[in-house]
Amino acid sequence: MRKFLINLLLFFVPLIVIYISLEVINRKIPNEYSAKIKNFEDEINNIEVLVFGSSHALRAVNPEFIDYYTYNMAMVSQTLQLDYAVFEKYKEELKNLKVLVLTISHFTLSTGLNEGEIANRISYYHHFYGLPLISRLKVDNYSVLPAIGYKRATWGFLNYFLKFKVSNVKTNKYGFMGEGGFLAKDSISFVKVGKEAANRHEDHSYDFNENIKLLKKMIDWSKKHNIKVVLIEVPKTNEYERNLDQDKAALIDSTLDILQKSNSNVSYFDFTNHYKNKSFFRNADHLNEAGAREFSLLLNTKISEFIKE
Amino acid sequence: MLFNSLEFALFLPTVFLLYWFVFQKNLKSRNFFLLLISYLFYGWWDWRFLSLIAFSSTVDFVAGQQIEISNTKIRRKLFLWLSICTNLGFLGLFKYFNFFAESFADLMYMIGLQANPWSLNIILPVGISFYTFQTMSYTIDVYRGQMKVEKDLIAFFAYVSFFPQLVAGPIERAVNLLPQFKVKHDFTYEQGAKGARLILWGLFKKVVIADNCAVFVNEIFANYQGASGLELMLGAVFFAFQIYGDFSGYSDIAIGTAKLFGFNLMTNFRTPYFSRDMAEFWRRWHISLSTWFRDYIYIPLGGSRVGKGRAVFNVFVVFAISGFWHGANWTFIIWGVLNAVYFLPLLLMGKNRANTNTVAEEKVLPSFSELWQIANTFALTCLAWVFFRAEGVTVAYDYIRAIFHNDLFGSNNLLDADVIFLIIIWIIIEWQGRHLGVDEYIKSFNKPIIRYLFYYLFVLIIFLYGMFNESEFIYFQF
Repeated sequence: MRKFLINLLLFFVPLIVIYISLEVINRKIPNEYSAKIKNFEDEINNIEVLVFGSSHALRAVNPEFIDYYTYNMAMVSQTLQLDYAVFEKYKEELKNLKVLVLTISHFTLSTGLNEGEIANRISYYHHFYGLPLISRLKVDNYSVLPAIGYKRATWGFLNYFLKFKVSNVKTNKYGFMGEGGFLAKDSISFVKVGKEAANRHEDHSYDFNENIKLLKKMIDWSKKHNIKVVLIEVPKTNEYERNLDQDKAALIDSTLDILQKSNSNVSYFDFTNHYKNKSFFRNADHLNEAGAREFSLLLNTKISEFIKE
Repeated sequence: MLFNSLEFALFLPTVFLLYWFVFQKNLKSRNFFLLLISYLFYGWWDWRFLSLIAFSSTVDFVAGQQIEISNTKIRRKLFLWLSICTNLGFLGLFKYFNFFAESFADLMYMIGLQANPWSLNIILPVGISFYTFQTMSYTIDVYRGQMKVEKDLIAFFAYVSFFPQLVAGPIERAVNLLPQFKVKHDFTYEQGAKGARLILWGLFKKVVIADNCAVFVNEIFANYQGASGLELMLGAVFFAFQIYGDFSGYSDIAIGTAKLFGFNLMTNFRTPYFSRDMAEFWRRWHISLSTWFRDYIYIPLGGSRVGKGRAVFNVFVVFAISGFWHGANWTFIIWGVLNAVYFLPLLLMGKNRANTNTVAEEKVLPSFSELWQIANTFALTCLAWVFFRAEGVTVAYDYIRAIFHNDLFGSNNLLDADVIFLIIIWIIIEWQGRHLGVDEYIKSFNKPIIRYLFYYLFVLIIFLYGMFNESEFIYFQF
């Protein structure tokens, strides 16, 4: 037994040392989340317009084209619960906030915290945003490596020492992401990716109760602090939209409309079918940089009008 | 608790140390400890279903006792049937009730009558098909006089719920496993090392091979209408790799874990995809279930030592039940029947035992004729797996039809080249270990440095290519 335990220990010691080294180095290397929260915290006193949402918003709202100091806090697969958790943590520090932009995607009102694509990314919010979101006994509670991916983390580790490239951050200093992600090159790709993305985002759930409660909390707090709330649906292609549950899409629209009518500080804009031109899209459900520029200028007009009301 | 979870990574070393340093000295306390941790292991998933295992164990323990002391044959039979009906009753209720209710409603509809299917909204307890078969084998063996009745309640309960093989087998026979709870085990370095090797190899098969294949397979089966013929063929082939990697990976981890506690479980897989015909495949695939059906259904029905008509009937019955055991869906029954169709010509021509040795014995590579036989057998297996994997019979039919009707080429979904490379390495190592098992093959590296390099290489592969999303093992659903 003694020999077995000693051999086992000797076998595992180098592995544990390697794991800890990978963990330490990968926490040092800037990633989308650490960069985004750092820029956000640095500029928190200046932020006048704050944008939340998923990758749809991340790639659609470029703050550089908005007249007010805007920060894009949207992230890939970010759910409304995460928008709410981040807002709750920082809301008292947002002294200059005038408008809160909440982007509603097809899944936003029905998806739970640990459901769908966000499940593997939750630990980023835990480790880099400091949100106490993980309750189960998981490696993610203690290590950031599973979320990064062990293969990517190992390359990150090697690059760090070989000094090839130590950062993979693609977002600009205002939190907008223009590069990266899947690029649809032809109409076949748009059709294929549109269907795949719609399938991924479709849960056929009509139960919005929990998420509406969160929306109302954010709206009520904003009302109390004289902050306006803009609810938006960003442009998507028909190749994506037509594959979604149309009844659910209609219910989302009517729900947001009711929120607008029942709250004086809320304005709702549905830009879903605003652009027919494919040259504005990176793929079926994301704008490209040119599309984001056009859309951000449009949003700027709407926000400016709303602030002046 | 899943073998590929952090919970298990903490659970295993803790109970291992407690077992050998605290509880090993006394047989009773050791068995009680094993029972306790096995119930904890199972209850981690859903503690409410522990009552089912406890009830099943109690019924079989009492039935065994009563069979032993009964004077009349009728009374002995009565208690045997009490055990069988209780176990199959649970299976029927939790696993098959909705299937029968819906099938009955469909039948009524076909003959023009309206019947609303009365279905139950219940979840299937994990591993119910495995532990009910294990515990039934005990009462049947006692009834047949093939083993003595167990009088130690704790040992019996620990045998039924032994955590390494509780949820997905191997389905152990009482005659093999139960006596191991009656003797003290001494830890040997060799057994511990073998256990650790099997766990490592099993993890590789599960999180690297099976889970990577699953991504590709799920994609293909979800969008089979738009996939090319080649993609559909590869979908079936990679599902064959997925299910083998998943299930044999689980079995290796189970057998390896049991070895760490001094227990020997039966081999469940012996390189089945190197089989030269379907009869050989069924001697090498899910051996614990195949032999269970052989001993408790096929042979009592008369086996092959009856008239040809009856033998054909027996084969169909056993394969159909085997399919149905996997799940309450016509797809599984068709999968079983299809395997019977593959097997029957061999039986009727008396060739079902033509390949009882290992392929390419004392050779490095197979001959062309062996390779041809292996490829044919594998192709037939893949075809049957389409039914096993598909959501419904129509889907399986459409999938197979699409292989021949869709364009052959035009691929959008392909596995990463490095995953394909890992699958090739896996096949090579399986080939090398086809005689004595992969574990013995690794052990055959005489120099410890080579062995350790091998271990580290596979830890590295698991680390870099493993999927750590704690995906369930496929056979948990059965």
